[in-house]
Amino acid sequence: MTMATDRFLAAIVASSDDAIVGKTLDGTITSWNPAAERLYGFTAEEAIGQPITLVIPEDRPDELPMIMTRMRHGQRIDHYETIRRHKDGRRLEISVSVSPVYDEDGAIIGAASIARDITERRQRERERRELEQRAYEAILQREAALHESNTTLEIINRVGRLLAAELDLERLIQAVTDAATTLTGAQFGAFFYNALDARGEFYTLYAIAGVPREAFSQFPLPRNTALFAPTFRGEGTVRVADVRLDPRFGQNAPYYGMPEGHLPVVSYLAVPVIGHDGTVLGGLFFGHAEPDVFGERAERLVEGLAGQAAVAVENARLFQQVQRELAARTESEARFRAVWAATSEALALSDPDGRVLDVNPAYCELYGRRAEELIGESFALIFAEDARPAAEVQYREIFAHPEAPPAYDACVQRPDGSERIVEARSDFLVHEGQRVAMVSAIHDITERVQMEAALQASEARFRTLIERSIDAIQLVTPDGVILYTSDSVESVLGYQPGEILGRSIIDYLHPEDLAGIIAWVDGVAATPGGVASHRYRVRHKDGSWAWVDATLANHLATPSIGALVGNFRNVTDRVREEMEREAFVDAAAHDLKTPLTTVLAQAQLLRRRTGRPQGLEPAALASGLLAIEGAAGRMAALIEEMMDAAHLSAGRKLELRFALVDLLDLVEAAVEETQRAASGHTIRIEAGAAALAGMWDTERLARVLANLLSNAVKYSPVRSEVIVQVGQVVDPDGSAWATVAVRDEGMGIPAAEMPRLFERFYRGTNVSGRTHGTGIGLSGARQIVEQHGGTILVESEEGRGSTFTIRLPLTTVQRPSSWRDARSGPACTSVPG
Amino acid sequence: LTLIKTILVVDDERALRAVVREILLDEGYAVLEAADGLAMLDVIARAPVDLVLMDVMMPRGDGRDAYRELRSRPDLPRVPVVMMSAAVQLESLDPSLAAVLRKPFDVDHLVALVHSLIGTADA
Repeated sequence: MTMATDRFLAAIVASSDDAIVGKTLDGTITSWNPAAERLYGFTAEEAIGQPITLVIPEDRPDELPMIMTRMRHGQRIDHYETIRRHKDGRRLEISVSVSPVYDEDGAIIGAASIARDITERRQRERERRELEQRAYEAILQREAALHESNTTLEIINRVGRLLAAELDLERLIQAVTDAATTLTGAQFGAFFYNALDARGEFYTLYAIAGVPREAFSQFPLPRNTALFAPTFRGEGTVRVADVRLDPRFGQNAPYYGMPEGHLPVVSYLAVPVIGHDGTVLGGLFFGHAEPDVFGERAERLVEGLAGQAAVAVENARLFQQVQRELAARTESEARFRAVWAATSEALALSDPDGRVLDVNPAYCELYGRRAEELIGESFALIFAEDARPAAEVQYREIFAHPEAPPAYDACVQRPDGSERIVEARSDFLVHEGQRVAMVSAIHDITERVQMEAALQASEARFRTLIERSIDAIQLVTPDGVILYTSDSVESVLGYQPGEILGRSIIDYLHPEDLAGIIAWVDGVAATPGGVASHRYRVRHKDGSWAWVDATLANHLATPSIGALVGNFRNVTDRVREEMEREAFVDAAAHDLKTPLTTVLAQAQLLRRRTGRPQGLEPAALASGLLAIEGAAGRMAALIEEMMDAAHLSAGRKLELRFALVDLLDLVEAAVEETQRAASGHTIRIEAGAAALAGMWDTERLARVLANLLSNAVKYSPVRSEVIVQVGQVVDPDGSAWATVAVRDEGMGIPAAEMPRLFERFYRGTNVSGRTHGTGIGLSGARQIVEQHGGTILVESEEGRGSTFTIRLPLTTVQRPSSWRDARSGPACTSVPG
Repeated sequence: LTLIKTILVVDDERALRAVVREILLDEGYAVLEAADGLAMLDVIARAPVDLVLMDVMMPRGDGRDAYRELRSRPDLPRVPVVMMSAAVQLESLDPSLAAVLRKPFDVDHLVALVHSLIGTADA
């Protein structure tokens, strides 16, 4: 630019009617022409170097920053109407255009504004608009007075009716927007309906009128910017004649005004829609490309409409909420119903009295009943009849007590009588703090319980087999170290497993058996899979020797075992019994051989004597034959007695041969017989009566007496006395008994052995093994006495002697019809001495 | 007369003592009897006896006990003793016994045994 041009331009500026002011980007005035001096009242000297705020009223602090921001962005401002201040304080209405000023390099260094006083023009415009308004009001009043429906009222009425009826929010908003747009003469209108998100910024629901929705849809929804905020905050209506000149306009990134391609908005009208409680429901926004389109009339119309819209929106909102809730409830109800019907868990709903309110199909299936049978009846129907009252009591307990267990098991019964075990869990529906219904969820656990029971039973069986069997099981090393022992070792040998684990079996073995056991164990250990049995003696915990039968199996190569497995059982009683049997047979042989020896010797003697020259004298022959007869007879009696003993020891009853007999006779005969063989003892009879007759088996009673007497002699010292008391007693009930008591002065019987005294094959421990006999024993004696309907008792004191007492019934029930034939008459033997 | 040899028969079975006495009397011996071991010791203490024939098992004064007692008492003569038994096992009997006679026995055998031990009655 040349100097000539500068001067030319300076002349134009100086002579211009418009005030032309230059300023830097920070607002410092750099030039001030004569028209500016006239307009603002400041001389160039007064103004230059001062901030431009010199002429901007204090109530418009935002204007300069707004203008400068636009300058820095190289944007012009055309015909912006605003207020400035004269030096004398007057407010000046001006129209101003502001342009950025570039340096030679194109950088923005300042701004130039051209301002014109429009105070008078604005005054004229205001007057005209007031005239118009008054004219409009006059028309409006006239129209209302004439009840003529003009377009506006028609729309208002229509919208009013619609608003009252319409509950669909979107349609409602659209209707309001359409009506308001028409009424205001806007080119387009929009209703942004507040749908605040968490940050309170976005408005998602909106309706558009006047333009296709697409015209808006590519832009972001309006934000809470300076221009929109008063509306969305519900501060009141915003009506701007030319939005471009509004200081609130164009200050926000990223657009600083309207985005490119936006519908042209110059006239702007925005009315908040406020609910009855002050809540801002949204805003109605209107625009027009021409400035100053919306007047007060439009504003009031829209405000009225907004009031009605607010009510309608609230109604619709409420309605929608109700609809949503209903829908949600219906949906949840439907879901609940589906679950109720489909679940395999049996469910029931019951009232506080236990009446069933509802049941699901699984419940019906579980209990084998139809829903109609169950609903309305007591829940206790599912129990066996006799269990129902208790179940109802329990139900009320659970219902009444919050602390009652929420889960419990029960045994229920189906109509066909089959029983199921169920597990029930309960929950309650609570209304105003009161339990109003019980929800029960029931699981059929019958199979589970049965399986558990079966499993437990089989485990228990197995454990019992091992632990309770009479066999003890041990795992031992080939060296005899005990690795494991079952608990049953206690019942077999008296030891706790812990006492003997880790010990050697040798510690417990009878020395006499040791060699045999070592050979046995070595033999099994040397044979993979080998099994062998052995009988030997083991020290019992009580110190005695116990006989065991043991089987040893070689499981050294079995992975889970790796040892010798020994099973053994205590066979002491059996061994003792076998020994007793053997002794019995030995004794029988011995006892029979004794008279047999006599028989044979007599026979040989007779033969030898017949061979002699002098021959055999008849008297000697008779004597010899008599001895043979006697010995043979004793043998027959012995055999008879052995048979009895064998029968009795086998627990069989004898066939008693009853006959009328005097007990005293029997006792005397028995005493005489015993006394003959026991010359060292004195056996004395004490009888309380001359005779004591009854129906008894003579031979068997004789054996009982012989047994008691020989025991008394056997177990008492030489030259001691054995006293036999014979008498009779009458019990309080009138029954009469014959009694025989055999008292000795012998060693007595240890108290511990008294209970076993009458057992078969039992022999006292303080008796030497030398005594022998094939007699019936105490066991046989007791059986014979009891078969007579009598009793046998023993009293004994160790070291002092024993008394055996038998009681025989005197009024014998079993009286054979032929008893008179058995004996010609009652025996009445007088007692000698 | 004192030369007649005397044999003591000890058995709890009277019938057996009787037949043995008859047998020995036929052979010319003198015979004494006792019913048990204790009685045997009494007889030996009081009368000269050349041989004892004694049963093992007797209710009182068992033969074995009596034999042990007989041998342990210095006041009693060392009379040979033949033990008679009907028992099955006789192996456990004292080996110092003159002989063991199993019951029932053969009379000829008994006579031969007695002869071999003490000779005939008058020898």
